[in-house]
Amino acid sequence: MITVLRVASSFTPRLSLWVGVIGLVLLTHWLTAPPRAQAASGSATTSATLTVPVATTVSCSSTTVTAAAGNQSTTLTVTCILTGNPSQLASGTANAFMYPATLTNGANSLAVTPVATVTSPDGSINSILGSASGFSGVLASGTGNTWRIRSSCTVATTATTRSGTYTGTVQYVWSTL
Amino acid sequence: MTRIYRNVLSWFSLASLSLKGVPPFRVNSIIALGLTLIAAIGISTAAYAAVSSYYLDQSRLELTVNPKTGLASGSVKVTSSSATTTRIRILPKFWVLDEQSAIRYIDPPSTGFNILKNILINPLEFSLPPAQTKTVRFMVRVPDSITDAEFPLQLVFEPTSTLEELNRTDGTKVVQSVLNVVPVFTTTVYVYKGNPQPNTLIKGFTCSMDSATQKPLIKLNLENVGNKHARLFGTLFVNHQTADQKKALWDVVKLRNGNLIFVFPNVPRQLTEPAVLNKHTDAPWPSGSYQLDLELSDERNSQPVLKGSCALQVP
Repeated sequence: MITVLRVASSFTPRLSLWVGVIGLVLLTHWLTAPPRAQAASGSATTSATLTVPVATTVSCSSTTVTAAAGNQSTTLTVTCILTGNPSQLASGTANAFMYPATLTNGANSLAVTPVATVTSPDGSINSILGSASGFSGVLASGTGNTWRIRSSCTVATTATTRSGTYTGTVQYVWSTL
Repeated sequence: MTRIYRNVLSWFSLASLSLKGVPPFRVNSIIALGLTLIAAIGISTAAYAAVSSYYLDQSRLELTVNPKTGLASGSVKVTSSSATTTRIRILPKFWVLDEQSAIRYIDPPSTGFNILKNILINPLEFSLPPAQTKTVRFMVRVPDSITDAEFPLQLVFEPTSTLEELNRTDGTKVVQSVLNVVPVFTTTVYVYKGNPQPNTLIKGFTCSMDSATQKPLIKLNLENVGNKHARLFGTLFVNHQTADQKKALWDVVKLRNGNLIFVFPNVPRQLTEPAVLNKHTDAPWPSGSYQLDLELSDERNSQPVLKGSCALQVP
């Protein structure tokens, strides 16, 4: 009787341990399993509401500005061109330019000030606003499948600014809300 | 800089060969002098480009938390469009839309439920060879204590390979500013727990003649007192009142050029825009009395059509 009680009392924690191990194995298997077709829409708890493949390409370029030492305010312009099918997704498409706070040459830095306008030569952008960290807005319904968006920032140097090359990274973020 | 000078000079050298009667050396000298003057003013520019090297199969996902497990899961396929291997890092980010519908990436609330601490992504960073596809899976956990709620987040697929900088200065007394541009794609994820619903209210709707443009200006204030964001299409029916006080539909205006108007819970939304006509695009508005009837309909029919009206007098 005592032996039976011992078995029963030690069985409960072992069972929960095994349940935990099996759960961990299943979770690991799910996370590491090779991709299956239509995996995103097969689950009962997942509903993909937008299944249009976003084969959109973004091409961005920026100007490199060289100024003589001294008090200068220079403007860097970033232009991004979207091609593909953005116009099909325009009703919820948003974009943002995330500028770095400073440009640096490793030892010194220059402050970056985003200019509070973003222009779109083809008129495909509206409601663009500036902020300390960049810009964001919503694309208007497009003309064809090419979108051109332009943004800029200024970099100021003073008489004491050390010469050299100052670099920074700006992100152009394209998303569908 | 030296390279730019050389390139420009070489191009103009070729061009100068076609100029009859003008010694090429003199043309080059004039151009060189002009470029030197521009440099003396202080600023010159050069450009380089970066192209996105991947694309996603899902740009927006709406997931519902399983009430039994408290989990919601999804996946995104990332496909390379590059000729070289791209390294991609995935950053889950919390975002909000401000009053002007500008997207802002912010830190999640310091107190209460933090969805960024309850998301599992696999893999978080990976190398993507040319023409290959990688499936990224993620899982979100929302505790039982939260009932009806919406959690918006974005998965930011950030290329981590750095770009090669061009046109570096060669030790001269100048300051060169270089911006590397990285195109980034995201997947917007809305996680729903329970049965959240939008409840948008028109807090203000006015129309007036803009003195600067002599065109009608629409001002609309919206507020969502629900717990799910609203996705609204706005239509304005422009009715012209004739002399005998009869109302006739004159034109239809699609607000925001037919784009969605997003209204998030507890974030007032303000729109101020000119009424751009659909039929009478360039024609001036005939003088008289107008009644503008507004209809806002949710893309998902999550709430009844919202209606408003304003009167306008065109002199």
